[in-house]
Amino acid sequence: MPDKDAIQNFIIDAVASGLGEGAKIGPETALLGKGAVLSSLRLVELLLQVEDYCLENDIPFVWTTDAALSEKRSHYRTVESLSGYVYGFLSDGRKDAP
Amino acid sequence: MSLLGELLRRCPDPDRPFLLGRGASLSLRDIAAAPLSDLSSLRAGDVVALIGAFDPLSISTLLRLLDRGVIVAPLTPDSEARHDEFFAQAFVSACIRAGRVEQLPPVKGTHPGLDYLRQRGEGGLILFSSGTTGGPKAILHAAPRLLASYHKPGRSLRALAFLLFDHIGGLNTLLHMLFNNGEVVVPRSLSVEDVAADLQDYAVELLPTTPTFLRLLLLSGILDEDPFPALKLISYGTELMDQPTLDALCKALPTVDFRQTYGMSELGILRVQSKARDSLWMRLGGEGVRAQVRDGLLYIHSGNRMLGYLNAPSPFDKEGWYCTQDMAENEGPWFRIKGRQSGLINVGGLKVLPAEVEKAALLFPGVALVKAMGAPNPVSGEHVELICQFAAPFASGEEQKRVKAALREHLQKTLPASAVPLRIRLENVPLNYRYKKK
Repeated sequence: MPDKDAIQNFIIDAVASGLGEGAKIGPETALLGKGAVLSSLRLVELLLQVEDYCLENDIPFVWTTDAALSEKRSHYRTVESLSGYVYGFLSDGRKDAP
Repeated sequence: MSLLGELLRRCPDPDRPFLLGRGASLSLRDIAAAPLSDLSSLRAGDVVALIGAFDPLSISTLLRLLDRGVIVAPLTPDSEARHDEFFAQAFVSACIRAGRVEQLPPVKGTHPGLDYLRQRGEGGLILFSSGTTGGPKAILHAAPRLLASYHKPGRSLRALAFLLFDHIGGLNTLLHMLFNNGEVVVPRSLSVEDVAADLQDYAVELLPTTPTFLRLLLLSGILDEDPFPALKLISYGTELMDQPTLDALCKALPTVDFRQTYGMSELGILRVQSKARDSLWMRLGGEGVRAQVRDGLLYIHSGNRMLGYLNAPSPFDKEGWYCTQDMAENEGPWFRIKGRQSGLINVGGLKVLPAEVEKAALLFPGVALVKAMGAPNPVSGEHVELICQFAAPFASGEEQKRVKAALREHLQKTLPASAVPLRIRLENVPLNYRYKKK
């Protein structure tokens, strides 16, 4: 079962692979809003990759939830917040988004 | 009276610019005073493609062409790869780029709808729409009939031109504001940050947009601080809105009114009333507009509907009803859309035909069967997914990875960004007992 660092590294690699060589991606990299490195379609693609990764690692991650949109501070804002969100499903065994 | 004459008559101050943003400034007096491009070689009844955007030159040219009785096909540079196809489908004889008229090779044939306009000396508008089957449809409108809907007074607002110059929604924003002494702000780009900055800097009152853009706006966190004090109204359309997104928007922007728009290029301009700001129920009105649900599908009859397609049979029945292919329910005069009946995939308001994606995938070496489909997501509404079956099995997992990456690259090169599958699965395509794809 992956730990939080492994999840974050997977997300960093997935973001970087979509941006080509030379892209510097870290935990603070913005995925949404000001300074976001991804277009809306690339963000969907990333979340699909994360979904596949979670499926392979038995993490009951759900991202197509309305709750994510009604949150004032979205879990998808940065690499770190997304990693934490995914890890939450693993550590809490949550079946649905918070 | 000419269109320009009518607009000048309705305008209390023709010197006031109605076009703002991105350095633009254009008043009706500017247009009336001097043409910005030489249109002397064009005659009434000519079919002319106008490649432009919401800028002074394009708007001035559009109004002048309509006044000359020209049949205009507004296009944008974004669709340049398909312009030759559009020209052929719509019998286009000349094209205007950056204000310059270019004569195209002689047109073979004509269409009864074009001849009808020529006989009556009326201008026309041609819009292109992705049909549910086959290629794009060339939709012909009689300009006087389409413009008649603007003669009834409406609200005068400062609106952002979010929808494009070749879209009936974009033209509707422009014409509505022109006829009602409103103002149009041209956004610097359609990114969430730039639109938000324009809404603030120009104190925009009306934002006509799509549910996808509104979802991105919610996700961005920009709405946390009530950033748009001037904003009075957000109208949303072109794709399905969902109740949780609308509820979140109503909560985040408590002083803004939300209204659904509903329309199709074939039907002209419909007047839509939302039951409440947080309701997806709507009532359809406008010139000769009637609506009804038959067998779960929404049918509409519209007085300012198109004359017809230039490249396809008429979609109207004998009484003039049009099947929207939208699944709907109604309670008395109120209607609610539940989704599309057809397989058209709606990626952030852009329509993608599964057949277009499948055709591109089948061009990749070794591909035997493919199936493209839409899948829901909370960001762009839908995205494209592809199941791809190869003729021969892969020698190793490594080879499968390499082929998948090459296929992805091939699709990125051959398809528009919105049509590129975001998830590709290399597996057998499910078939039913008749060997048709499930």
